[in-house]
Amino acid sequence: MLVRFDYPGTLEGLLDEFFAPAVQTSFQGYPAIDVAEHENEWTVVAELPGVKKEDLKIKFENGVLTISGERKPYELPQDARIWLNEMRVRQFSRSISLGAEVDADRISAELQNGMLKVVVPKAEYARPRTIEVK
Amino acid sequence: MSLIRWNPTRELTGWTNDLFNMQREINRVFDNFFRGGVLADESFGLSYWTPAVDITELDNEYVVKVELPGVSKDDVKITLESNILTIRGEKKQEKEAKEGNYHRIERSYGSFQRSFTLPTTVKNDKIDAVYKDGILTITLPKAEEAKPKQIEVKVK
Repeated sequence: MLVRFDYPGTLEGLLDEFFAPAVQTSFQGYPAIDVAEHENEWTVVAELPGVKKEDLKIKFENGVLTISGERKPYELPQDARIWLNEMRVRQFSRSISLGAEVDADRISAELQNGMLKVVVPKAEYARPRTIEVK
Repeated sequence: MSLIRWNPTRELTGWTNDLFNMQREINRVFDNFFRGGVLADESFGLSYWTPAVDITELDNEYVVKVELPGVSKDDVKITLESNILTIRGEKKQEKEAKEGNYHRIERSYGSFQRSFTLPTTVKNDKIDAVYKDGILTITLPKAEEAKPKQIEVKVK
């Protein structure tokens, strides 16, 4: 009966949409993600506990990064008695629009301790630069 | 009386927090009701966030799984006190992540705590915990007297 209440995915999410319209994501709570912009790259961190590398798909197309996949259920003996089952998510998909000014060939991803970190380098021409005055 | 500048964001955050706690309290009441209060979650009001938990009972042991992505295992503490299992800890934000301009923060940080009353006694010294792929798995073997016994009854 316990339904996971996704606090950041709801009202906070709405506020985010309102205050930071620069980054658009699909309005869906799972997985929870942090999106940060750095000088030379974007970093997207998603929480994916129990997801195996081979069950994860990362795609970048038309400026949109999509993280999707499946969390396979763990094995249990047939006579197991389930007292509590809150880890319910099986399929998931999330899209984040980062714009086209990125170096799509150099996107890298790492999965560790149930956290996926995707680094999306900005295109050379989109990086900030200082112009020297002669 | 001084004038305090109204901050809509702060007020809304407080409001969602209340809502969050209320939701949890409702869940807790319903849970206890349906379970007959055997496995009560006593965590209400102590956490900033609530990790999802699975609890399964096998013939010889209980298996408790907790979703803790990005939590360092040094920041997790597991205790068992008169059949009450408590998992508490803290999820810290990565140092490198503190820099940068955030467009979206959905992950929850800070302390968490969950407690469960186990229906039967367990072997205190045989409890095992493993952290892998962001999931903490705690195995608690049942004490001998709590295991199901098969008794053969001869029919005369």
